[in-house]
Amino acid sequence: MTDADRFEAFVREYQDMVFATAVRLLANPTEAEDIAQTVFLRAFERFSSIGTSATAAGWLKTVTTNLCLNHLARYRARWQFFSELDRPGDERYETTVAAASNDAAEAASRQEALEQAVAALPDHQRVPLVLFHFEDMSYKEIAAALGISLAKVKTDIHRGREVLKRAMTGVV
Amino acid sequence: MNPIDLEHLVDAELKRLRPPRAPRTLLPRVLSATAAEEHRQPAKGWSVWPRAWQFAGGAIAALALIGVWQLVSFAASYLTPLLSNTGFDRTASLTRGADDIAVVVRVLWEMFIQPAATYVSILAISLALACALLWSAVERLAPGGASHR
Repeated sequence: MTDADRFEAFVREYQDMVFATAVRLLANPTEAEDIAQTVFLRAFERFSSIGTSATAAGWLKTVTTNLCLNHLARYRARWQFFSELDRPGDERYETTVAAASNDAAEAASRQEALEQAVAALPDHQRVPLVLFHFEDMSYKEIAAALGISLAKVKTDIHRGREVLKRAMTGVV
Repeated sequence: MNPIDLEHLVDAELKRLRPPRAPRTLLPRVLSATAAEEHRQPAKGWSVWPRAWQFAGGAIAALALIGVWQLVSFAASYLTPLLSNTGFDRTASLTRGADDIAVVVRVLWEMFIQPAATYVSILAISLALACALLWSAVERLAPGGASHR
């Protein structure tokens, strides 16, 4: 088995995990695919040490998370700014969630509605929520990673959960 | 519903979601990108260092040059009489010539360049910092980046 074959097998094994992490954080499949490609290019550069490592999955997750947060900070810097203006932003996005919820109720399952609701959350709610529930990060770690206060992390996650609960139960 | 129950409810529902699958285009994209990376001639040396390291390297090189120059001038002042005493007149005259040039350069440095050097370097550093801050602000707030969705 050549190095190229080993790397291909490596990408096949981890591509779903890397893409899932990225797409949940960014809620944008195109951007998530770009990030996933960058992650695997970084893995390729140090494949001799990572390829056989038992911590490869952890390394990939960490790099993916960091790249996504950098991407959000770089290209969506305004999300942090808008997150400080509580009401107007929330109302705008809750309308989207409501629409997603209604569409999903007609067409698909509760899980689909939930997925759409997560994707429709504003960045400042979705990112900490995804880090908490999918990446198993603590509130403190999230606050440190995002550079915001612990209280704000808790508030944003709580608001996100409220929106998701409404989406799940179909109550707007 | 209290926050703890809400957390558990949402957590359970989210964990039940099917993880999104990577698009079929990802693997070919990664493989072609890595193939291109392999064929690319790797850049080496100072040009690939991080910007801060490049500045530090430049400063160290400048300091090393100044140090060598000072050392040569210092050594020349001791070597000149020694060489002339031992009969190496030609070498001694060369060393004297180098010493004279060093003295002229030093006088020029001390009279004209050194007094202004501090102000010029402070001005240059301030301008560089201002440019870096402006660039960083423009990069963070430039419109368009957030409109991919």
